Amino acid sequence: MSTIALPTTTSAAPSPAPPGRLAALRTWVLQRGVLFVLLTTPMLALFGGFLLRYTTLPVSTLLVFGSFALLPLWISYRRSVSRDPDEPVHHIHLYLKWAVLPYVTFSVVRILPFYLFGINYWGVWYNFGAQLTGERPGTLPALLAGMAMYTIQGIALNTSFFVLFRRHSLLNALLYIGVWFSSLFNFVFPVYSLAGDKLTPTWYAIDIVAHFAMALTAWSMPGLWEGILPRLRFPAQAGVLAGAAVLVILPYGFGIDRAVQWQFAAQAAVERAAIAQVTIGTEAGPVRVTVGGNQARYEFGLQVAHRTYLNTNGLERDVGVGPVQVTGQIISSGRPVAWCYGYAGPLPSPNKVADPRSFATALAEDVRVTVPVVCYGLANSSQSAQQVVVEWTAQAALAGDRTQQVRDFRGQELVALDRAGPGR
Amino acid sequence: MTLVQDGPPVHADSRGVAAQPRRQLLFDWVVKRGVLLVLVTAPLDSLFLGVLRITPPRMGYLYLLLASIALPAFVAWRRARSTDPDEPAQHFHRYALYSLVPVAMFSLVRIPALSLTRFVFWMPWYGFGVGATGQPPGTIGSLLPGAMLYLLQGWSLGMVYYVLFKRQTLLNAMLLYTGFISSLYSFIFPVFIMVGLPATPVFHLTNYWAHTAMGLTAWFMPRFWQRTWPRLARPVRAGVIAGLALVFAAPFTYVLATANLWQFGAQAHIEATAFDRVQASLSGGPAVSVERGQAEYAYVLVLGPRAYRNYGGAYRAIDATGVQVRGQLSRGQQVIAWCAGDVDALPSVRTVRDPERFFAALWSVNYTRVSVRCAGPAAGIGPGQVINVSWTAQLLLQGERSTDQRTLTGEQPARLTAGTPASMAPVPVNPDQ
Repeated sequence: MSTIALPTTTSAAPSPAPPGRLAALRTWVLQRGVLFVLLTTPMLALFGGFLLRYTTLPVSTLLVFGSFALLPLWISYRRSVSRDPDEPVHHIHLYLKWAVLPYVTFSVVRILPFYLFGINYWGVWYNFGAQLTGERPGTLPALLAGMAMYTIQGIALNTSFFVLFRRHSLLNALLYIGVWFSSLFNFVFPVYSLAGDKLTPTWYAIDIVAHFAMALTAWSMPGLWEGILPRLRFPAQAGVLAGAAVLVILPYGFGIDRAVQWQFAAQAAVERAAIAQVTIGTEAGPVRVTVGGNQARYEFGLQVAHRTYLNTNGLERDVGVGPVQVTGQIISSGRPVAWCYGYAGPLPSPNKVADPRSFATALAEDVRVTVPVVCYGLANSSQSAQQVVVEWTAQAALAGDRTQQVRDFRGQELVALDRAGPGR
Repeated sequence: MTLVQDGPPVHADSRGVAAQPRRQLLFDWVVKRGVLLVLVTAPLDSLFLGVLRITPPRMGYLYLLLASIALPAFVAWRRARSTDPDEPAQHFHRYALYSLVPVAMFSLVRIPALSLTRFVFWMPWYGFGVGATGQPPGTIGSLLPGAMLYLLQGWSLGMVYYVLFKRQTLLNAMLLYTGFISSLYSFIFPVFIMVGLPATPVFHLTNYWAHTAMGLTAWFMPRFWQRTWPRLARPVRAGVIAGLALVFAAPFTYVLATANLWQFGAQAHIEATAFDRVQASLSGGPAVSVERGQAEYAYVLVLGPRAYRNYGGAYRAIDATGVQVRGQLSRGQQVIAWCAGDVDALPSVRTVRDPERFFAALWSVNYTRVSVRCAGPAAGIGPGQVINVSWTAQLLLQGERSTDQRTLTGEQPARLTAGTPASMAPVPVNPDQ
């Protein structure tokens, strides 16, 4: 290991008088506090930009970019001046190595529940990636970007355990990672993220088990890397290292494989089915007519409905609808008396609402969305008519995460006229 | 550049013996300087991944994200393993602090360029900020992240000198900064980054001058801290620290102040003038087709001009969204058809990242055609007749700093031509919306 001798000019023996609380706090801040803050910038970015949404995820990630320069500077500086061999900065390269297997274990143990309960662990990676890079959710670029986020969060979380605690005991690991972090994430993710997810007790149970597995792995790391591994002979050592490498690759490889081989096609099929279910129909009620001068203006609405579906990550989503372009006619006594036009850009959708409560409200509000249609004709054309035929054609662009389609809708309906205004 | 050698001296008496130390030298260089160089240049590499269009801009920053863990891990590992006191990892904190001054100097010497030549040196900062965060350009929201990324890139460039060269001489500094980096910058920026802004001799001169100042500062830093600093008395040291803090803060403070006091107001004024120039006009005569007692018409309304030059002299185009055209066709006092046309957004040049393609794209969107369709009774309508076309176009004009809801009205006589509306461009239905 280290071949650079620590400065020996000052003895590491304890001072004759115990240091004051302030001095102890100062020492703690210098030795562990600053390092802890710099190491946990990925977690701060996650909380500030993704979960609590004080700002956007790309902006909060600037904290991590800042630590890119500050963290190695601090490590290098403290290694130059520190006389305490227990100071984490002397072992940080080991801690970073130890942090790898625990965070991959967190995902590996969730592979089996994917098959048992259909709950995938990489679904949230799409959200990380989509928010960080602006790529469409449910696509490979969003997944890869999300993996990068997950990686640095995992390393940061587990390294923080080794930095924060001088004694890397089982109790500390279980309390910090197993209890504290699983409680925090079991509260924060459902309340502030995972919009559209209907979380079951199974989800919570899997999350707790995964955190405890991560805690156990974190606790076992010093023993494995510094105790067991150096004592093994070459073939066994190579075998353990190969096993560790497989473990590291597994959650990423499995996630990508399932996404490419199963999820993308399944998602496209789900979206095609959802797009086929979308309906556009005439809104109930009469057509309103107002007459001004020699022109008559007719108004009615088309209702867009049945947009909600459940995606392959188990999240409720709406089919994105828009633009919608409507053309049509008002027909009275077999001849057109007015010509209709309606247009709507992208209709309101809850899909980009990140807050679960606001998402539920938006989803309920967007169950039926009305596209207004206005028709114009000459005032004398339908003067005596009580009922008219409304004939319309709508062309709408419909989109899911992976599927886009332009669909034509048509309608013809006998509707009562509601006369208002000067011509009444 | 000098390669660091820890092992036994190289013997060139036989090929086999010489080849191994050479490999060893290369291995040593890679471990001690090469890997550190690759990691420490992550801010620049991330930028280049986006600029060279290898990845989308925000995807490029994933490299910086991963390097933020890899760099400290590598520095800590080398500090624990290395027995070579010359290895850059042993001096990382010093080099990291040294590198803060050259990056500040790079901008400090460009401050006079604004008043002398109206060269706005911080304009790329907005691009950096937009590229990494997606915040709107021309705002504090993109300026602050951009300034931070610029600082990281400049810091990284400073670190290159200290990591790459064992002998931090003036010649090496000049070769790196004045020779290599300036030339690279003079090539990369006009070809890949400066969208809508032709690179003038002033740009190139400023670039060489500023990089030379950066190189001189990078060269001077170790000399100052190792030779001059220890000889200074305490009050002088305090003065020096204050001076360096001032040098570091000056360009960023200047940019923030100038952006607030001058740039934002100037840009808003430019945009208001550009908004006023946007007009709607008829292109040719409406086409008419009569079928089953109905007449259908189509005509094209042209919206523009939208091109303008911003506060820094860069060409941009006003964006327009929510374009809604309504109108009538009339013959004498009689309305013969009612018209409508909608477009969610006119084509924009904001997404054009290639300077070579920018001007062609700009001129293609400067005047944009919007299709309008009309329908009405057929009675007595046919090609060749002169009718009156009236329209009202509502649209939201958007610049970098301001938006304005506009209503453009117009009326123009036009001769009907034969044709079917279907033969003209339909109102686009864009599935990407």
